[in-house]
Amino acid sequence: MPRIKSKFAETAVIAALTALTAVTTMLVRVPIPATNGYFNIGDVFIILAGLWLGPRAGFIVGAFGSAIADAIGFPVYIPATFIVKGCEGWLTGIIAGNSGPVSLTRPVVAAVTGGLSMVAGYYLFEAFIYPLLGRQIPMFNITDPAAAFIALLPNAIQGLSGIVGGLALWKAMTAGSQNHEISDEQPFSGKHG
Amino acid sequence: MNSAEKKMTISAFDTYEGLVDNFVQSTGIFFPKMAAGRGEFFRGFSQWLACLRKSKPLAVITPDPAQGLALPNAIQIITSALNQSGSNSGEAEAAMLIEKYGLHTQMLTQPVSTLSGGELLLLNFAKAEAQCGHVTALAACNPVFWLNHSRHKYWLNLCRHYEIQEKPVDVLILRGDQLDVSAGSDKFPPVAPLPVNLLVDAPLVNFPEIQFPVFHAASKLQYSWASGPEEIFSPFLLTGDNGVGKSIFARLLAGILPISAGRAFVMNSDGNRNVRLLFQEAIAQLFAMSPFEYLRRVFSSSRALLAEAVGLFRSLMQAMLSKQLSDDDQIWNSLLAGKACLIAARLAEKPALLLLDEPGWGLSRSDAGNLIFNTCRLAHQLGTGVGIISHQPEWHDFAASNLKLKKIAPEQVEISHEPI
Amino acid sequence: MNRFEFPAFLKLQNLRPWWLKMAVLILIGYPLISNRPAGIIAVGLEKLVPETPGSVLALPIITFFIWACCLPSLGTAKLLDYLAAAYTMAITTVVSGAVLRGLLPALFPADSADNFRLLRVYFNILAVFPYSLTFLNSFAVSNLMTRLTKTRGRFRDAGLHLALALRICQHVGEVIPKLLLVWREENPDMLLPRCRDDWHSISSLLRWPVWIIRSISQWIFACIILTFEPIPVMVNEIEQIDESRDSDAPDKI
Repeated sequence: MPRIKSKFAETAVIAALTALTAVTTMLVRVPIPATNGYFNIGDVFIILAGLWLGPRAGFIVGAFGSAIADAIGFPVYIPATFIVKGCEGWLTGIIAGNSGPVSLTRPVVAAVTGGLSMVAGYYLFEAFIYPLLGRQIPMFNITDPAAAFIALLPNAIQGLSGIVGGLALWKAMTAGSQNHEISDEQPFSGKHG
Repeated sequence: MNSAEKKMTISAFDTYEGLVDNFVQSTGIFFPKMAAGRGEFFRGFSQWLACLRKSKPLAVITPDPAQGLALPNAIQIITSALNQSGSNSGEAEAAMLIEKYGLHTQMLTQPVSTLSGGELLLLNFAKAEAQCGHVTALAACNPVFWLNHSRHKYWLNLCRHYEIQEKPVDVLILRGDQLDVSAGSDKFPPVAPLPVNLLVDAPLVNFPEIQFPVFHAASKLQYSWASGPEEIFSPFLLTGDNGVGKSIFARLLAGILPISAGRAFVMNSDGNRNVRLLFQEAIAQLFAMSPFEYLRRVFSSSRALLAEAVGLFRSLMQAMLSKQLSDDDQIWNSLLAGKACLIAARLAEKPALLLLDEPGWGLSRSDAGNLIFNTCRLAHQLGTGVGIISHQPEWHDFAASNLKLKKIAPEQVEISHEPI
Repeated sequence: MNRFEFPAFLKLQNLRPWWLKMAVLILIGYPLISNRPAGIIAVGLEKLVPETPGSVLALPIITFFIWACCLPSLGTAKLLDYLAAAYTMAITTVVSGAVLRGLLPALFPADSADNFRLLRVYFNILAVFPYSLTFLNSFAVSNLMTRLTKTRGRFRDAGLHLALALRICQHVGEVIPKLLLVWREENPDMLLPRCRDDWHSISSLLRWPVWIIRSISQWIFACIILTFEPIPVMVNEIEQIDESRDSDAPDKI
């Protein structure tokens, strides 16, 4: 991951990836009626953010980008998505660490762990946490362990597409990039009139 | 040369890539060379992220004037710049400032994305003046390219302002720019004219994005033909003042802007009505690909056309550069090659008309002349007409017909055919 | 064409002070985050006309209410633009769900109650899309930036980061229409390549999906690159605002 020297540059890139996550999550949505959730391809940018910019960026992109998309159509999933997708990006970033584009092993392990954490996280929420919350707040009473089990397969496909897409994008973006230092300030060096 | 000009340092470059490299080195602001493809873009962007260097505060006019305006409309751009300089005057001063640079106060709330190239540049001037109190210098790229001659005075006004404040002005231009005192006058031999039928029957275009959130008179534009339908000759020049609606007319003819009423089309002697367009911001048309990637992608479903387009691209480049080029030459990833590739891809399809919107942007004068001359020569061999859209008068002598656009009311543009 | 302009007092962006605007916007959006208003409408409808499926009719009623609140702020043309996008999104979401339920019942099993859930998703998208864009457009990012250039205090850094993030999100919204214009010049049919001379055989049926997949990848890269392109200049501008305040008031916290 590049060492970002400007706090504002980091904010700008994270904001751009967050917006792109929200857009791609909303673009392709296949509802999973059993759990009231949906299949999407937004994980591509979450994995990318974790691999490219590290755990903090991964968390922000995953948590906010996906939660914004959930607000349109699936608001009940906002709390689960915020935590699960945030952790997906964070875990990817933590495991990927400072691995450059030369070695693929760590990024692949990181992306797979991130994807798996998403599948496991949603299962946890849909099978246990939401039914538990649903007893107190009816809004969350939308799923049960059986439905959560059914959703495992579409979530796994979503995770896989995120891993493959995220790794492919990350590879394309980092291919050949090395941290060359820009030389010291130079005067304008053309013809002077 | 004016006294204000003497205070500025002018650096001239042969290529857009050389100019951009120098701009990046001097300001620390990464500016991508999009024709080099996505690998080069990400490499540059990652380097910028990792090595971002804090320079002294500078007012900048970027190689593409649209990129230098980070806020949605003029009022916000100018008040924010004024606040940087410690002024709290707000909207009244902002209005005064944009009027000083020849822009109408209506533009204060018009979205920046809907302004023409010249208007964007003038807005950059107003912003640079507003920033003057805070910054140490002004770094400006191609500061007069988008302006009509009558508006060059605004650039001099800005220089004068910086001179009074005793702040240096560094100018980066492409060789042959109007600020380049050593520039000769390159003349290209005329090409044999080709007849093209142009029909303009009061086409009306609406722009709903300009009506929101505040209504603007510029939200619709209707064109009228002053002298009735007639035959014009290629290459023709479509000219007019900054912001008159030249690019909109080109998009309308190319069929990518929907017409709400009336009609406008071009037809050649074979009844072909296909019109292709090279955008002002042609670089966006490469869709983040390098020239050869672009050709392979566009013609992935037609091998015959791919071979023809590659052949046209190579012959256009060789004619322009007058030498044999090796495949690993850097020139293939330049803006010049990007434009040549886009032109070749369009010519391979043999449209009735190829419109070139400000084809000289980002090119030195000799490169621009070479590109236009060789494009016209090649297009006419294929039976395709060429229209050049530019506010710059130097193409007047080269063109076989001259169409002039003039605003006769805020929402009305008249097109007249001026014989050459 | 005569243009109808709504009175200024009906436009949410003109509402002052900002907290009142926020309160009104939250009040308008309340039916989207709580089931209570829909429940009340459903019960009322069923009491009024017993054979009416109140819970189903409550959904379009709430959607119309949201549209009516957004209309004066957006204007007819802009609301219709947003609704076009919302309908596309809602229809593709619901249709893809319904089709996959039929094609892959093992992956997407459902019962009859799920039809109502899909209907709720459909109307939710139709209402939330224009509402959220009205919400965003009611607050000008640059007004926030203008205030921040004058701000002193410990929240200034957070404020500048927020302003930059919001501006970048706005920019993402501008990139896609720009790319659409370029795409239309290149491929007027949008979903078919302009140059397809060899596409007269059966094999062209196989080429189309390949072309579409490549196009999606191209769009993703073009969107990323055009989104990132102006970031350096925007960052430079924000840093200058930051520095100008540092130099103006170095001793203030």
